Amino acid sequence: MFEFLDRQHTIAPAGFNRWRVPPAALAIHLAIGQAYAFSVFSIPLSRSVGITSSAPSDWALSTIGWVFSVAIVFLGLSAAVFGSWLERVGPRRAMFASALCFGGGFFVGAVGVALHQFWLLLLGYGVLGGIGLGIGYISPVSTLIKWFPDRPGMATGLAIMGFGGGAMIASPLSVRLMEHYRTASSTGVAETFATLGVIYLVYMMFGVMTVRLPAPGWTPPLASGSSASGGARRLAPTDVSVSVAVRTPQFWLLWTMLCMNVTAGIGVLGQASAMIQEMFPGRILVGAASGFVGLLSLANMGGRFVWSSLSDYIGRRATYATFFALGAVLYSSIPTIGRMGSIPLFVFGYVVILSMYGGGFATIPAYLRDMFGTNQVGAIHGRLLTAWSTAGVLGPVLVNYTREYRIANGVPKAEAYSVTMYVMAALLLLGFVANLFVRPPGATRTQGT
Amino acid sequence: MEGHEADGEGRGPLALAWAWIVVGVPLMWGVAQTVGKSLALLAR
Repeated sequence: MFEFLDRQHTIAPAGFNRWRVPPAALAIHLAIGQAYAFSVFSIPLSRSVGITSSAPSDWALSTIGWVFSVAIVFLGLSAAVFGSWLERVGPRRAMFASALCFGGGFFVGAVGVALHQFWLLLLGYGVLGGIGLGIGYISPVSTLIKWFPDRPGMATGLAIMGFGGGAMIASPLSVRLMEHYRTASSTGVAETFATLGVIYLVYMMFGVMTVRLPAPGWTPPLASGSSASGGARRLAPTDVSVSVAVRTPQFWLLWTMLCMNVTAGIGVLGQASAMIQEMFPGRILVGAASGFVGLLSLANMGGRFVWSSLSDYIGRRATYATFFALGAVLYSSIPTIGRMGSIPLFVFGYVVILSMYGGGFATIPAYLRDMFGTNQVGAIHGRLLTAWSTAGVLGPVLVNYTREYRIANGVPKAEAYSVTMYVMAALLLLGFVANLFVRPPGATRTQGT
Repeated sequence: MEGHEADGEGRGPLALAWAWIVVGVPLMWGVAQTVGKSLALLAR
């Protein structure tokens, strides 16, 4: 009955236009990118019983925060666990499983909200949805790398840009749905969850039905005229299995780089609104700060495509060296810019930082492909995403605790971020050093680079 | 190969355009919403 999901039914016919695959990938990432917009449900969920204000039996905001955290942890875990399965069964079956988990997570979560059972919400959106996130994140990326061996950075950037863009669709859509469903006795969250479950299930099925794998031995057309000729193209990676890859220093150096880049980015992303208000008291109010956060989302999304596409031309190592070196300079400059009182410079610095945060996510699969080949890149990418889960805990903890410690010791709020910024810059320098040591496996033997 | 073509795979520019519209329209809508909100709030 589900034979159409089999790998052999996914192989593209001769003459298939490979540019039809990125939309399939984008359909999945635009859907699962909803995760970044989960915060729009925080306040309504905290009023599930009281409706207009929180009742004593309502969930606390800190409790609700666990739903997103669990989803991100399960994203990393499921990507690591199911990566090898994805390579075996092909992208269509994996994307189908992702759609069922992600859509199903909304339905179970809706029941949890309707019955006011937190464990059901956690199980639905956090666990089931998180598994959908993990499988959905790696499936299209691995497929696109196989279709675009000449421009893997651009291809993965396209898909992962969708993950950044998904929140921009989900946020206004969710707000409108909640407004539509809100009544005197309901915040509309349960109904919105159920509706989103249907929308995302159907939308992800578009990706499931249209995704294709290249036939064995397929090569990209030579007449593309715009193929990358830089460092990335020069490498001719040998395929390495996931079990071998995770035992190489290259894998752990890349893991460290992703972890450092994401830790620094997540740390300041979560604090961006409060930081700009406290650094420019009286000049930036909550409304403008919200606009600033929206601008950062755009930078995060745009950086995913721009930086990873650029990496096809200047090489992956040069791209990451730029992230880490320029990032360290910018993070270190933020306290000075704050003292100078220059809002445009502050905003510009932050936009570049966030573009590199997104760029780090989007460029890493292509870096993995350069190191370990295309055959098992999905499985290897899945294992590497545990760095994201680690950074998801490390980043906010570093920023929040450093800030609270400084304020408790009498440092003014506007100054409290300085040390945090220097800590983040130090993390980026650690990533810079790790990047210096990355060499393709067997490079000294075969290419000397 | 023929089996796939008979399945109605469609290789023409129309299929390609349709696929990009399905993902491009929602993405552009989301970006427009964010840009509009950001500009309005920053201009306050």
